[in-house]
Amino acid sequence: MSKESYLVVRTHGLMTHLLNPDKIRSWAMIPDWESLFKEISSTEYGMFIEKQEDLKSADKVTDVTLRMLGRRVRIFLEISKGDVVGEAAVRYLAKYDVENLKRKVFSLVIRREGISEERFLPISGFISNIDSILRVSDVGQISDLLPQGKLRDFISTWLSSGQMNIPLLDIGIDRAYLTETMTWAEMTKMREVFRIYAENYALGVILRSQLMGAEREIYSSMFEFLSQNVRKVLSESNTFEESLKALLSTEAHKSMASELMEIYEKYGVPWTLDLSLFKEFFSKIRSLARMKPLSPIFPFSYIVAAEWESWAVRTVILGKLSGIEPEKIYDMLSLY
Amino acid sequence: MSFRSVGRILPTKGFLIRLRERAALLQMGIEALKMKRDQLIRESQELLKQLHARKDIDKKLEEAFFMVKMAYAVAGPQEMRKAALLATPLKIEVRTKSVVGVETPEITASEFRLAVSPSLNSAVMAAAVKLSEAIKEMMPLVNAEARFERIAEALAQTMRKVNALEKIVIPDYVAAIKYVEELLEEEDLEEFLTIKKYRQIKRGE
Repeated sequence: MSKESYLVVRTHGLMTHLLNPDKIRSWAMIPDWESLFKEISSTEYGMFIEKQEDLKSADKVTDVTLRMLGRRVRIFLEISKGDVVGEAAVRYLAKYDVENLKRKVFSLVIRREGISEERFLPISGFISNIDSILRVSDVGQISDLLPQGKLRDFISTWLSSGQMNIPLLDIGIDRAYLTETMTWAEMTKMREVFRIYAENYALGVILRSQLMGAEREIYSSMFEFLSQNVRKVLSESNTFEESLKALLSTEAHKSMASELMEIYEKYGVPWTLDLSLFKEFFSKIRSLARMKPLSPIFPFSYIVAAEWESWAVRTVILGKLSGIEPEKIYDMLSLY
Repeated sequence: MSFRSVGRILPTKGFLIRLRERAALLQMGIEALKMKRDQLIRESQELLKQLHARKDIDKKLEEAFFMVKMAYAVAGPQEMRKAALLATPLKIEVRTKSVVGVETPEITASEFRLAVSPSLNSAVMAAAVKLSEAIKEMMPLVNAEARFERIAEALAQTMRKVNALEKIVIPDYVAAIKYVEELLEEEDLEEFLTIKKYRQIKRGE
């Protein structure tokens, strides 16, 4: 059996351990904490949630869901080591390290009273030396510890420029990460998946930048990760609303844009943007994996499905904790 | 005899002149205070219109806090901490503005940006946008409420002063002037009678 076939078979096995998305959604309708605790205890999450009170701590819930994702990811990386899927998973999951890297840089650059404590995502280790990087006390040491590549080059250039523009730093890190990832992906069988990923990621940055009222020149560098068609329709849009309307005319983002437009019109702010983008990415990868069940896309889709599970469990528990109506939580987690 | 607002009474012409001068001054004071009272009433009536915006602001704040709850649920507490680190804190400047001699605060909020990074979760960003909008729209109401409070306080004080002058001080002065005038008239009459008597004695009548 080839490594690829072995991975497909193993992934089928791993998929059976994931919770059914509909089951997680149904948890939103559980009226009391005791029953919810019983439900969750009977799953793998029960390993980390010892008592009912744990569900009422937002920090604990976030930590548990990400740790569970980390656990699933580690098992997958062990079996996919040395394969293009394993490498793809590491490069994809490096987004968590990128997020932690940003938090580290921000906390060293902007020292603010009362928020001195650095909080990192408990899932990391996809960029070499990241653990050492997260321990440094001087921002200058970060670029020395980063592996050779776009990310390191960008951080060094940014540090030497003495600039303090947070959106530019933020987008610069994202761009360096995506450029490095796409340079690798274009040479592999995973290019299709990563093109979807890069477009999804870039679209998120562009829409969020427009939402916060950033100038076009700040986020224009992200357009290079969009497909030609999407780039064309967004070329004239300078506001979030305009972009959303433009995206409605594209086949690739129609469902996501229409869901967001509904939310935007109802609440005045597109608060489900990230959720919608991730749902779109998950749906696309899932259908690609279904179409090509023996390709490396299928094992890769496990990582995205595990992420969705982690996201959905967290949304249900924290949503209940925040007093959001069960129907609203249920709707939020509906897949395209 | 003494009057509470006037103090000790001296039955002299000089004192009477001073009393009359003071009474005239008090009358002018009353007029000025009445003008101030009317102006303050006009100002507070203007402010009342602005205070009606409170209902809308309450609704906006409710929406913003709903969004914060949503953001907490969707993005989690760590993302909220990151947003707090990146937010530009609200800078408040308080200046005083004089409205007919009443010092009222004028608060301006500047450099307030809650969403400064495109890597923030969209739910956090949405909450930040809603909260910033609500706070920005709330500032005129905050100013109006603070100004209204000070004006209402000054208005109550001015009304008390006008009432006290009209009902107690001025009547006291009027009574004191009348009393001194009567005393002086009596003294004049006595003196006239004494002189008359003296002249009669001198003529040997």
